Amino acid sequence: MPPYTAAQKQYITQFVNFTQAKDAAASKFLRAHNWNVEEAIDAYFQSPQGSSGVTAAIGKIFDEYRDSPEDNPDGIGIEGAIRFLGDIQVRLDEVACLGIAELLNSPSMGEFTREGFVNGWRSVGCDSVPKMVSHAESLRLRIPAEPEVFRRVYRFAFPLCRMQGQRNLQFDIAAEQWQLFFTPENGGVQWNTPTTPWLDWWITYLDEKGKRPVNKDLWEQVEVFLRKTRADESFSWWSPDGAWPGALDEFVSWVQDRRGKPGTEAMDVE
Amino acid sequence: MPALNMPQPPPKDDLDATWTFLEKGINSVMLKLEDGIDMQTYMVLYTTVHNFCTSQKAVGNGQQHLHTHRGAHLQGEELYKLLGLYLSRHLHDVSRESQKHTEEGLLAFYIREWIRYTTAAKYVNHLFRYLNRHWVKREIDEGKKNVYDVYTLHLVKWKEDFFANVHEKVMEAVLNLIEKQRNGETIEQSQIKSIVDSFVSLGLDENDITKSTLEVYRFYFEKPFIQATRVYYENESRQFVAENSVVEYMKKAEARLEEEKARVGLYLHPDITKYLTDTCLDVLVTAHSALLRDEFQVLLDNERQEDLARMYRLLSRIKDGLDPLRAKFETHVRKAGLAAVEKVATEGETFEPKMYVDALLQVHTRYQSLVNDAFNGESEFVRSLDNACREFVNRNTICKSSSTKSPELLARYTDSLLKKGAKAAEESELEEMLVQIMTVFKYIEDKDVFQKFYSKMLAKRLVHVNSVSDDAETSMISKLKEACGFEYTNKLQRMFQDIQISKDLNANYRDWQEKVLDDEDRKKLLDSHFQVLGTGFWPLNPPTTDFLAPPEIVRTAERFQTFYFDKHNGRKLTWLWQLCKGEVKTNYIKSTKVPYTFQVSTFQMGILLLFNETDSLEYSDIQKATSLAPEILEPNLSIFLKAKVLTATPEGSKPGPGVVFNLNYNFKNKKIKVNLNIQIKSEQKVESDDTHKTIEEDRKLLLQSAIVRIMKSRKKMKHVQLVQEVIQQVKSRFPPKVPDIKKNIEALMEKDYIERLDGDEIAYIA
Repeated sequence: MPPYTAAQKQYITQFVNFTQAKDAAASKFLRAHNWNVEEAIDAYFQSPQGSSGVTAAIGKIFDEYRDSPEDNPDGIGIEGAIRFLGDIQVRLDEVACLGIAELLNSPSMGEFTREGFVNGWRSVGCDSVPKMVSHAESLRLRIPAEPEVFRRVYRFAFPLCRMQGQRNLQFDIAAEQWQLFFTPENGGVQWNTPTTPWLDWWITYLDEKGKRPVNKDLWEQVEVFLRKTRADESFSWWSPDGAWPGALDEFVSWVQDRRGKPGTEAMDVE
Repeated sequence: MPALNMPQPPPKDDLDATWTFLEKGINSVMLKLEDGIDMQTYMVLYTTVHNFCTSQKAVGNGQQHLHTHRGAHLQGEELYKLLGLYLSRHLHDVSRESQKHTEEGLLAFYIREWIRYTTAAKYVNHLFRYLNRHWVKREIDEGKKNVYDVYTLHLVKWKEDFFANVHEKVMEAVLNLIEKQRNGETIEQSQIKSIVDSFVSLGLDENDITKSTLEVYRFYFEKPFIQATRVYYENESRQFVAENSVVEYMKKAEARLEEEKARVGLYLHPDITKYLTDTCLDVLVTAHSALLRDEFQVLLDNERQEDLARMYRLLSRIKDGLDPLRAKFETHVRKAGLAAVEKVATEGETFEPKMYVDALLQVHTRYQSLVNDAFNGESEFVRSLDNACREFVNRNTICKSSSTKSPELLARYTDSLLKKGAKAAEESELEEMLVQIMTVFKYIEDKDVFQKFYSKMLAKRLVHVNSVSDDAETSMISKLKEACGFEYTNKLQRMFQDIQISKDLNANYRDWQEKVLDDEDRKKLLDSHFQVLGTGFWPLNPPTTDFLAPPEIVRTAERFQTFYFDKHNGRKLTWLWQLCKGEVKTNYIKSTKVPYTFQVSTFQMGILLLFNETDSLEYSDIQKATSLAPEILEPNLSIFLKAKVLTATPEGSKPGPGVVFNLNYNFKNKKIKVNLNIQIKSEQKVESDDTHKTIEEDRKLLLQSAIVRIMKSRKKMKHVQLVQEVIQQVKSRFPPKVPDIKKNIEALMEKDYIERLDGDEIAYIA
């Protein structure tokens, strides 16, 4: 067998640390997946060789929270979910809760499937409740701090919160979620600034426009828009020919109008 | 000449004797050539040169220069030098003599001496042919500088020993002479021509003496001449502009430019043409271009075509001369267009479409002919004209309420031309008018709106068979096709085809009837004509009202249906009663021998035929029998009352519940045929509103299908590019707005035709 390169050795170490497997198993799976660590670990856990220990442990935890093991052996319902989230110290009204839902690929609010549950926890190497508690804690810190993580969770919220059989998100639900995601109180990102109450204005604006349902594209682009406004509040990045959804284009002019009339606010003060 | 006196050549080895002999001969060639030189003298001189050059060793001053190794026949340096010295002496004399002359006298002197000198030079050159061929040739071959063939030596000497002394005075005289001519005096042009020729001849190429250059001419003639020209016209134009109008100045400038161009041909070297033209343009046009341009608007306002043409000609010759004019022209035309429309608008709501179209055309025609006649049809001016026309055709007072007004009015005007009527035009005239319509059409941005209205009106003309001619209709459609492509006119052509097919169908139907009908049927037969119109191509809707057709018609209609379904199984026929019409005869009126014929709509027929059974009917009876909606029934009854076909009880009441209608046996009319089938006003308005509504819908579809089409072929594309591409594809139909395109992109995202990737890229979902 040829000697490993430094990089390859490092991959093996990563693999072993994560899976607690033997070096030989690590190199076998890594070579089979062209030294892509993530893919190799995934495959390892899927294989009978790797899945046994960890999967069994996670599966056991899953079993404890099932609402009705007879009727629904592979699902956790709303009560079990609440209990489980309580046990891993996640509040229902914080963004981290949606982070967990995203991790476990939850089909709808307060529901977990065995497959999603096991794959999710295995992918982050958590096979005990204390490990899950600490993962949830780290998620709580990472969501507001790391835009990539935030975006993943935020985008997952759209299908999660959607009413069954509907394509778009009802305005009231969307507004509620924006309040959650775009304020720091429950682990989201702050959008309102001292100069511009972005979030409040956005909700007010949509309210004035007739509370239309929010489609997926608009939902996703609002978060992109937020990042832009956080970088520069003066709209220098905006152009009418840009790719923004129409609602955001109109919001820009709405904001500009509002800002252009400082007199009205002064009058209010008087 | 006595043979005894014949001169003998000097001893060939004696340089002094040789030169003394030669100098005498050359001198007579130079100074007394007009006395003639006889052949023998000439021959002896030639022989002398030859002898000397071929002598073994020459005695005299040149002895030390003898180069034995070069061979005997290459003598000659001494002779060459002495000849040079002789020429210098001669020219020195000429120089001194020239001081006695000035101005034209000097020119005459110069030319005289030049001719004498160059003529002599040719002879002398010939005498020294042997020298040229051997000694000179070898010297040149060996790369010696400042050795020339004998003729050229003459020119070099002239330039050095005479020209150098006099050229300034000569040029002064030349320039004075030209100035006199510019001031209008007659001068002896040939003098200048000769001077020019002389200057040109003096241009010798140092590197290759067989070639000449124009350097001497350029430096000593062109330069001062151009300088003088510049000063002259600077002064003249400054003074002229101060004392005359711009229009007068342009005439003057143009004349001067012509004059200077002619001057080159008359007595200057063609080399100067560009230089002279540029100088004149610079001084006469560029220097005054601001002044000229300021006058442009005045000339436009007063439609001074000739002066505009002159200004165009002048300014087109200088760099960037016309750009400011184009902008002014564009604005002017746009204003003229807007003013013309404004005038039409003062007529209020009721103006004829013709007035509007004529107003647009008039402005276009006026300025197109201006562009052609005054601006030489130059493409940039054509573009300015097009821009201006597009502006005022699409954005003016009348379009203010709705940008679709222009195409609608144009379509209505076209309809009025193609519809049979009192104002029908001659065939050739009509074609001319259709061409003009296309001129306006070209500028219309909302071409889809025109299409909508046009097809509605074409449908009516075809259904009511009141087209002025098939040829005119075809001609118009082919013009539209040419302008907008096959797709644009596809439906129009299909409509045409349907009518053609229907003609055959009716013929077949009549044959079928012949075979099928029995005698009983024949008695009750109605004379009928059917048109079968494809649903997808015709902008027609089913009737908006219920209608119980009278039994007489129902029977005929059913018979036709039987025939048709027999031929085309599985098709569906919808009767468009609102478009049907017919004629009924008034057999009940006894006051005329020939009964009246009423031309009526089917709805009207349904009402009138009820009176075959009874003489008076109550409103609700009629409504029940016909099933017609009140908004259709009432106006039609009104028409009958107004025409006095029916009378109302109580008298003078309007149609409505409770009113009784009586057949008027005393009906009278001047005409035997009475047309009662008049379009109801309210219908017209509804139609126009409907058309506008469908336009919005159609545009949405057009945008979405363009987006899908583009994305299907590109798979992935930046959002901005997609928007641009859509504009490109759609703009031939109407100018799309960016927010509308975005809205439709979003709509397609929602329908999962396309999706947004990161980085504002759009992807097609198969």
